[in-house]
Amino acid sequence: MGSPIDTWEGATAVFTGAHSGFSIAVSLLVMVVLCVAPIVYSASHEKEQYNKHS
Amino acid sequence: MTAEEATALTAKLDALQKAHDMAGTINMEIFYWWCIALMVAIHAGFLAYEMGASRTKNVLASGVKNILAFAFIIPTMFLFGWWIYGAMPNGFIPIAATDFLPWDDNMGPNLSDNATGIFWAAFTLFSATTASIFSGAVLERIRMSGFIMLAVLLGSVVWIWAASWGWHPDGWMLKQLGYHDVGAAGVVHTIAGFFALGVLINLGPRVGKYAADGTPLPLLPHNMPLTLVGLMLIIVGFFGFLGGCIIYNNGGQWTNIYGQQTTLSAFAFNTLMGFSGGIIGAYWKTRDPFWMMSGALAGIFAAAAALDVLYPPVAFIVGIIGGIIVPMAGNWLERRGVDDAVGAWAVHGVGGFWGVLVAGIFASGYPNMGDAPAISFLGQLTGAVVCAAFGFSTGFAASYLLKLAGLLRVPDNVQMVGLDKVKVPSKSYPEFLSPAE
Repeated sequence: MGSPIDTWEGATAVFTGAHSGFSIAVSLLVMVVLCVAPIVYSASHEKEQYNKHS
Repeated sequence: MTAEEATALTAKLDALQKAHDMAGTINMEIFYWWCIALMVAIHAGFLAYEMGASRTKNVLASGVKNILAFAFIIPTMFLFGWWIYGAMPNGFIPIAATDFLPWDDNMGPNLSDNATGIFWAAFTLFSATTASIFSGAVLERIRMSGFIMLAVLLGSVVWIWAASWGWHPDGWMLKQLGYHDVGAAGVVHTIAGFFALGVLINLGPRVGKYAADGTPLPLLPHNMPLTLVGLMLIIVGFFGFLGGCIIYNNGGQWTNIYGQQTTLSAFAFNTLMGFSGGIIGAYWKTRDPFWMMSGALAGIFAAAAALDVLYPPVAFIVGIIGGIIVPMAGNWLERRGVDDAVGAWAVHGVGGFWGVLVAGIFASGYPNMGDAPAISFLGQLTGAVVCAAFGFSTGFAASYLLKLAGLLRVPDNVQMVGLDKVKVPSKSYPEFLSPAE
């Protein structure tokens, strides 16, 4: 992470981790996990709650 | 003029040209920025609409569901939805679309690219609209986990895939059929409405919706005025949505999504005419304010595919027809045992289908750009059927798998207790419902 540039002159991609394949890959992977995990949690919470009310 | 003066003048002209270009680029960003902001009103509207249409015991669960659909669409459109749009214009075999991949230099703050982020955001709001359309149909009995998966499938895969066919400059529906759908009647509304229908068949009706002999029973909304205000907010948001469907060209005339010249004036004439016709048609047919406001949406969708070329009185007439057929379709579906809680299939599925046909009936013969054939009724009919079939089949198949996995329907006994009590840690109307607390 950190700055991908050392000057604003001629800068293009300025986002954190730009030009670093590793940094981008880790960010994307964590993003995928954080999208899937709440759905799994929701399914598990529903099951628990439905059992409680049945 | 001396050589030095000529050089200085040229430098000044270059600087002026650069300033003009940058002003145009920034104007473009500003235009879409506010379209996106207006589109958020669609979701405020759907939120109010769905919560109002729910019974008191389910009102917050309906709200949570709607909010989550919006939230999950954003990262998934970044991860894969945007790429699908760029990669799938030929059908099911992807083409190279590296600019659309989430790790591309354009997919983040980039000082040499003022366009990708703003267009990605506009498309993401279109995606969230499809998920919200679906959300209302299934309220009060769908499991949250299953709903999120289906909303992501519709919003970040199915509609955007069809948009690649019918909106992308190389889309096969445009190139082979001459498909014309500038306001997304087919690629957003027909797709979402028929996806919802596919899910509804597997999901089944809410407990208490039908008598033992199959007669539909009224499950009344707990707050019809909130639903009506929600519908009007959706209309407000659609001005942003339709603005997002037009292309700002720096220094040139506006074009529609297909590169044909148009104006915002054209969109303004016909959006308002369709809106008005839809309300009047639904009033004529039902006198019911719920259907009048739904008719307003259907009227806009009726004109949407050909917003750029319809004569405004024609937009009014097709809007009236949309306002009449949509409640008929909703009641027809209800009598067949399919519980579409907000009429999503009727308003968006049937209303959008009608809008695509309208372009075929009234705009046949208008030329397309490049080697795409002219607009034709057969091309529009085929496009509408493709959108309906793609939406229905994906919704049906995915919900069938979720049903097999036990992730689709809330158990009947839980529906009777109410989803808020079982799933939501806060109360909607605490004093009204629990005066002793």
